[in-house]
Amino acid sequence: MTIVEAGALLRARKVSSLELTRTCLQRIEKFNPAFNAFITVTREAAEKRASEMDAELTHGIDRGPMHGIPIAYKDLVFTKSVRTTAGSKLYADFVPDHDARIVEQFDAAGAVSVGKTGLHELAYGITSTNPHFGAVRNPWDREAIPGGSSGGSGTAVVAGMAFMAIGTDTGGSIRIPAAFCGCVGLKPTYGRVSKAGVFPLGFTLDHIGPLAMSVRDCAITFEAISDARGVVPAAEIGSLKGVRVGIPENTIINRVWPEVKRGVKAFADKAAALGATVVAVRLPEFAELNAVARVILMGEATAAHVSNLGKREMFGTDVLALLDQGRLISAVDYVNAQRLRKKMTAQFNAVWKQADCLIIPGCPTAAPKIGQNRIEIDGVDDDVRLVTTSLMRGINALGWPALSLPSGLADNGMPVGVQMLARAGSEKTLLHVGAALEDAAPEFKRLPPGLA
Amino acid sequence: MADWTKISEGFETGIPATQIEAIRGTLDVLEKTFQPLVAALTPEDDTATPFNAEIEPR
Repeated sequence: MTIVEAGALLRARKVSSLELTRTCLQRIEKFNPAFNAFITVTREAAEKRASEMDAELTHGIDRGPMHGIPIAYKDLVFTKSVRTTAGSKLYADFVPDHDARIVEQFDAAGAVSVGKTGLHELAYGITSTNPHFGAVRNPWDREAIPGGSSGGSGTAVVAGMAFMAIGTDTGGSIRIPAAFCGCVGLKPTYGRVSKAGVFPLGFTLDHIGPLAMSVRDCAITFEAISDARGVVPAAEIGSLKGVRVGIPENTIINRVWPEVKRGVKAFADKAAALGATVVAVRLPEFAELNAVARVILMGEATAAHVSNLGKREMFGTDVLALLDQGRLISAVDYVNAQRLRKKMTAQFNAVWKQADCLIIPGCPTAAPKIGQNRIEIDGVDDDVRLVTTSLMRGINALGWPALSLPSGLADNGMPVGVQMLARAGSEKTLLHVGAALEDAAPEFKRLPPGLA
Repeated sequence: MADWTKISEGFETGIPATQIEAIRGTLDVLEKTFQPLVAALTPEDDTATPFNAEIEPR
């Protein structure tokens, strides 16, 4: 069930917030031991809050589409009096004395938090195989990763443990779990959602946004935590006449599994069938943009955590290696990376003369297995982390909004996804076109067997 | 290629030698892509100031 559907039932008095919340809590109780999506579950607080939201509706107080909806936060979002671990041993017992700005906004919007979701340690990785809190599991296959770093949020939403779960995205950490778990993920434009009260990873690359089961649910969430208004797509969209949809033809974009490529083509065909003008475009090189984004991230992530680097035993091997690499990036390289970022952003932005939005692959493959470090594309064996972030990481440096949409199942039965991109500040276009394509592709809406 | 051991010593990072060996390859690959880009920068290429910070809500 989506937020839109649950909201209609709530307002028709066919269901209560307490019933929705208890259903989520029951599913957490049933499925979390197998999938490890949650680090902390706030059962009592959730039931109390849901009852309060029901009472408000009874008295005619309606805070809007998030009113009474059970949600979850990635466990690096500060929640007053509820521990916030950042997936790190360093913060295993950290209890914030205040809420993050987005928590205040969701409270004002009437949402009900059921708990805190698992993540890659310090949000610095794409597997969510956490050495301190255990591996988060993919809802389609327990032996596969859910992606990361917001892996618990992806699994929680697809397993029906929450209607929406907040993620953060510094190099793909919302879009990767959305693609690997088979849900929708929105990374808004940089700066449109407050980062106040959220553990940083890359100060100029971090984005906050939702993972949910539909584009409209992501739009509703985005409105609740940003200055955006009027971005929720209409219930029926119909034509996309007048919209220019760009399909990039860069080499790297074709370095994906055939099933992923088919998803891009399917959505391009659907856009054309809905009246959009589909145009071939060419973007500057992703590999160079990715290198720049990596230098910036390594410098910023290490700056964020350098004061704890003396306690080497407190970190997992992979995260420690990344933080150590950041220690070897010079200030000169960091500043030059920011100069290159500005130059490249101008070059990439030129594409918006030809298109209003782009459709490109999301992750080049379906989810790898837990512990798998190499993956094959077109007969070439490559590093899982570099492959998975190859079409994601650079977008954070550009600050563009990005939407991850499910595009069906790979031949191995695991979800794959596409990514839609738009110019900075153009979430309305992105969500409008995304919802139209989602409506036109009911065959891509799938739930894992046993979790439906 | 950069001498990561010397850089680590110069920065007084305290990173163990075994770890330098483990991360050397990744850093070398990144350097190979990154430094030619830097070489192409001109004095007119300004830095991206903290990105869109003016629209950060809080």
